[in-house]
Amino acid sequence: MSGKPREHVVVANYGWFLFNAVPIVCGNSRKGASFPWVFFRDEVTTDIVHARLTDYASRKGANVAELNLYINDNVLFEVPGTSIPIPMPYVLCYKERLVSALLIDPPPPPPPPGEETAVGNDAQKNEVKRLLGNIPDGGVK
Amino acid sequence: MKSLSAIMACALLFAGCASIRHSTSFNGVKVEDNEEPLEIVEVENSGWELFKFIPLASGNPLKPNRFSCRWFTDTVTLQNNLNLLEMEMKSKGATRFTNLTSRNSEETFLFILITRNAYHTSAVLLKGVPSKDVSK
Repeated sequence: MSGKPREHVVVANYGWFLFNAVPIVCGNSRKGASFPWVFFRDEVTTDIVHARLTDYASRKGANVAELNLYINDNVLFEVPGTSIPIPMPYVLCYKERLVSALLIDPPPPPPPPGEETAVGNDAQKNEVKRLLGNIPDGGVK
Repeated sequence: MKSLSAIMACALLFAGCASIRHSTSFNGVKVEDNEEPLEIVEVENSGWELFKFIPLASGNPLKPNRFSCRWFTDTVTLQNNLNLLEMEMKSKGATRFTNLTSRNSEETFLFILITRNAYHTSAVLLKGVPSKDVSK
């Protein structure tokens, strides 16, 4: 990773499902939504959280590094306030999709042909130019 | 008949599952050192165990995303996840990947009586011909 890191971004959505398939309630993924939840609609998908993160990176004009996808599907529902699960799995299930990444500066564009110089920092390149400029036309004798 | 139905229901409930999920929504954004990404992939293989060591059922790594499992066999391993990742890479024609991470998750019922164990592996598949290394 050569770009300078700008910010660490995490995008996640989670929700509750009946029999691991029928959505009950989950986070509202629409931009500018006034209500944070949606009912009976599945918006806990990889595409939605991934698209939201890359859309944010695109608006910031940044590249993405350390991109990780985290999926959590719990099929044993626990009695609230305890760690006691109900004996039937896959009745009430919890799903979570999370994408995390580091936004980095995109690498600088390559120099146009004809202006390529030797590898080195700007101070070294300027010094080389100054020294080459002092050589007379007939060369060093 | 009722007991057979109950057995079938239990078998369905405690069957394992192997799945591959992916997303290609990159919106033109490049990854790492201006690499062109193909897709982000998450491989999951899960299984059920009795007392945390007797395997009941687990996903079939040869048939991901299908209703297929292996009975009384533990296939929830890192190697199987990497095999599934390789399968996905071959199907998409990818030869390189980056940001490879793996983790384990666990849910238990009645302490250690029944445990659902899952192994997750995530990676970003890259386009193009390898310039230096096969994998980044």
